[in-house]
Amino acid sequence: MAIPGGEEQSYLRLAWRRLRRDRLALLGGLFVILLIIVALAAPWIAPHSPSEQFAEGLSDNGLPVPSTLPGSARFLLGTDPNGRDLLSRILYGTRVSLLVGVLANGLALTIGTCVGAVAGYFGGWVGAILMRLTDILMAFPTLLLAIALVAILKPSIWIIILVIGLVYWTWIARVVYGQVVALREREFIEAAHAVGAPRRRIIMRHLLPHLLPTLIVWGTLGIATNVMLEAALSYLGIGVQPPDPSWGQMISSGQRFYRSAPWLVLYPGLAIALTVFSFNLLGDGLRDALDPYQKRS
Amino acid sequence: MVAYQDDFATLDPAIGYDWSNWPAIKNVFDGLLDYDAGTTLEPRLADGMPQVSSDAKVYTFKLRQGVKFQNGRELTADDVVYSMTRVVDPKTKSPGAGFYMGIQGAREFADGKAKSVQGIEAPDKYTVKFTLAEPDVTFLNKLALNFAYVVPKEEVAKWGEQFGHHPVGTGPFLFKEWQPGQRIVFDRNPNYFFGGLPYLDRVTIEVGVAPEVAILRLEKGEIDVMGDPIPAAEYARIKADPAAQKRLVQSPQVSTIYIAINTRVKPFDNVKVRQALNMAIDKARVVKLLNGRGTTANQILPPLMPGYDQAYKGYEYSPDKAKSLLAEAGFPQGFETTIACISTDPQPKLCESFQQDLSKIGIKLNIQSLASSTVIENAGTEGKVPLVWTGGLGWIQDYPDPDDFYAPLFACGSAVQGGWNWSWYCNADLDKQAAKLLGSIDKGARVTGYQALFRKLMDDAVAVPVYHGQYDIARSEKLHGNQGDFGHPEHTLRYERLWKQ
Amino acid sequence: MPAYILKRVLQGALSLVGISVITYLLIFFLPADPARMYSGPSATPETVARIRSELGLDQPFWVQYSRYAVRGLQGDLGFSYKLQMPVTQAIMSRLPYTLVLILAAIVVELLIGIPVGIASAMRPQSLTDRISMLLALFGASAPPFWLGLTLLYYLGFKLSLFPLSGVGPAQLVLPALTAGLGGGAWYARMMRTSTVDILRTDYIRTARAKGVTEGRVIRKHLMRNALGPIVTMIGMDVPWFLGNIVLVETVFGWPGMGRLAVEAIQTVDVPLIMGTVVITAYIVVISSIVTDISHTLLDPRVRMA
Repeated sequence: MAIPGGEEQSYLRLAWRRLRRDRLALLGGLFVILLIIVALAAPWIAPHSPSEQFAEGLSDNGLPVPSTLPGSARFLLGTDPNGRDLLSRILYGTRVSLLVGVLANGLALTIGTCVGAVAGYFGGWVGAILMRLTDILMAFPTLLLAIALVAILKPSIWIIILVIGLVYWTWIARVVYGQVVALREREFIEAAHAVGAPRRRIIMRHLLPHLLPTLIVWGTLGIATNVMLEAALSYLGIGVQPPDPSWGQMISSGQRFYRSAPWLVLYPGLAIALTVFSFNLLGDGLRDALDPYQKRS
Repeated sequence: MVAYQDDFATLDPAIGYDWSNWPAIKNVFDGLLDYDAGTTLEPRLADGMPQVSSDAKVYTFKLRQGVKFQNGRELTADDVVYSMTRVVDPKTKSPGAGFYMGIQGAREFADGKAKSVQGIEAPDKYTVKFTLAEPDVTFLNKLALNFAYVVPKEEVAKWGEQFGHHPVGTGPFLFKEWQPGQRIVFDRNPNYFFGGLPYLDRVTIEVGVAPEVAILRLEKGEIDVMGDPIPAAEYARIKADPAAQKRLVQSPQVSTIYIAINTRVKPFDNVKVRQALNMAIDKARVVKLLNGRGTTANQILPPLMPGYDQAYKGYEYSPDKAKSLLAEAGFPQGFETTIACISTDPQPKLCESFQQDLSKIGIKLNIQSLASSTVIENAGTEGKVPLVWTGGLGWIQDYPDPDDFYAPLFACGSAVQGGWNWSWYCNADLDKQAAKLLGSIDKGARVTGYQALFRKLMDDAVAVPVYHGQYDIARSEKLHGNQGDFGHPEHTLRYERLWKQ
Repeated sequence: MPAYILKRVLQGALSLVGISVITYLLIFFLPADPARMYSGPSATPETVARIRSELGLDQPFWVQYSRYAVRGLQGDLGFSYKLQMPVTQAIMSRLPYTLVLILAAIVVELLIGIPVGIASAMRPQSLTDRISMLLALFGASAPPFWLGLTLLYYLGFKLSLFPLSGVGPAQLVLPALTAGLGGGAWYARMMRTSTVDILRTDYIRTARAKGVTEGRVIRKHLMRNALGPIVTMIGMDVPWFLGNIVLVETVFGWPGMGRLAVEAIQTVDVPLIMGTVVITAYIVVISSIVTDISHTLLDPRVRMA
């Protein structure tokens, strides 16, 4: 989107300068970039196919093999209960996690921004009804609602994206609503009204650019939340379906082996935690950088 | 102290049909007949084995006198009539109603055309008479199922639909309390009428214990029996450790776990496609994934069942031949299809293994991982799922007769809504043969008859038999009992015969 | 004040109605047929049809809904097919366990969050501050089921410090720790921010300048000022936990309501799904009303709409 006026551009430059000084946020950003590279390049960097169930991937009594066993060095992190290479699955799992995280978040941002902006801008009974609806939806426990929706719609990766998007937008709507209500009273919007600019134009050209920092911050933090939500759904067995590798599903199938093969839970869990962590770091940094008015400690 | 992962649904004998509550229901209730340590029937509430009419249609039982319900009232023939009628009454929603539809008038009663079941009568206080529409040599076995256990009418009336949570019967243990999600407690019934049983003063069933935790607690001595199957990792460890092995009781399970192929769904209406499936599944790997608990299957009947065909070799494992069969059938590029699987470990793992097997012959297999009740419902609805993996709900015999592997699983009469004929296979000729075999008392002729019948089923490739199960149960050294009391072929656990040091 | 409370309660009541309508709509579109579930797998189509009309499931949506709502107001949420008991009874037998677990988790959060947050704020930008904030964020990023399994492995199995399953005070420690660790991180962050803010205010500066010891400063002013945000956080926590505690309950086999809800959804036990979702949402609404009102009482300057 084109950012109108010079004011915003210098503002963004300022924000970038602030972000550059925030080492933690940069670390998070670096890891996010790394994740994206892994996701895109998974077929080239993964040592094996994520779905091939190797005959030698199982011990004689049918158990996953660890990486330390001599002769099984080809499985760097050991194998999963089906004899698949764990490392390859974790690498491919990045794709699933990011895909769900990003797309679901895009959906949530779109719905949330629309509802929040419309409610905030028009106010009155339209706003009241929209926000009441949002409040009601927010009262539903997110995870339970997601589980119920997935149960109705039959799990698949696209359904997961849809459902997460559908349960998560309410938060964004709330935030956007608050911002728009505040912006509506500001002079430049009133000025635009005064010169008779059409509403659509006011929303697109004047409101949205001011919402951008908020959307960027929530977009980043939201990916963290959504990655976690996907992992949770998959852990409960109603998320991404095999043979697509998902970290949550890997933990759930590996937890039965937690005494004899703790790596099955350890590594995918670390992958989730690091991913969520880096998006959180980046999001926090962005918030600090983009919102100079916020009280900084 | 016994531990299970999932809470029980009910202790109502007419309704409970789960792996876990099946033996527990026997704590509180009794049937007319029961099994000895093996599969021979012996009288329990009956005073002796029944008189059977020469046409094998009328069975007359004399009841044991003086048996009291746990509420103090004496059991009479009317209670037997009431209990049996209750099972076939559609209002009870008994999953076992189908076993008793052969009783004269049961169908009419279930359809609401008759006020009572004509074939169930109580001529006097201690006599019960059953009349069948057609001869059935397995009827006595069906009477030994939990569904036919006797319940007191007044208690059922008092608790209504909640009778399953407040069971009262004649059995060896008294139901004491049920804390949902936590535990069920039974106390010894001091007035039990049979053979000086039971030995234990109290049975506590703890639920919500994950299997991997249960086995640890068993080793610490906190629990005595682990109800669920032993998790894979622990099983391998126990097998490798002679000391731990002493806690293992192994019994063969009279079962065949198979993939039901819906013969009414394209492209499985083509016998070549079904045969290709039979050749594509790597059964040895499945048994390996189960840590060797079981043997690969090449036919529908399990080895311990009369009628099992030693000479039959079944389909060989050959992805190449499977692929050419598919090409012959007109699917050189394969196709996409779905298998329903229950979501409890280790079934998803096994279905993922099928996924890989079928991908080798070009079939893209989607897995529908669901709770067992949903799988059962979907599989029993025509045209809903193409393939059903029966692991975890697999057919474990209800009674020791090959008919139990035909009538419910492959007969026309079971290819109905809610039936267990998940292959939706219907062959009128085979049904006729089966009816003849059911009325026959010549054991030799029955064996050869069933061999031919099941061979035809395999030629038609209505299912992929994958393995025959094995029942391993872990218990503490302090708890004693015969092997048949831990792994009884019909009851699995027989709480009433266990004793503790 | 009474007007505000009244308004809040009315809004809440409206939410409650909305929640039940939406849940009922969801169930209405559930592909599984409740009449078939109720009549059991072997019932004939005629039986199913009879039961459908007996249960009133052939009626239009609004008729079914209003009947449900009227019964619901009398405390009757229907009968669970799977558990064979009234839904209300099933929920009431599980709810206390969930509430105890949530309470314990909040205690853990406060025990972690308050000291860590204050310690970090006293020395902003120090190594302790940075490391503890980083750890706090990482704790919040770890999936609870993974955290639970890891704690179970090390503290329960390797070190045998805690029992591995069962229900009781000792068995509560690990689940509470699992549930509380992540949240504790947020409390620490919040506590740090609010402490830093307060430390900058004039009266604290004055207090320090007058030579009052730090311990006293913290005790007297800080805790009183941080109370508001903490109450708000707890108010936000209860709903969050109600939705997410199921993961912890699943790992530890804790007999709470979350697990009940997931089991209900997996077995398509429609009345039980309805019951658990509606009850959970109701608790969320009520706790948010209570939070808002108590917030107003604690700090009369706040008038949140």
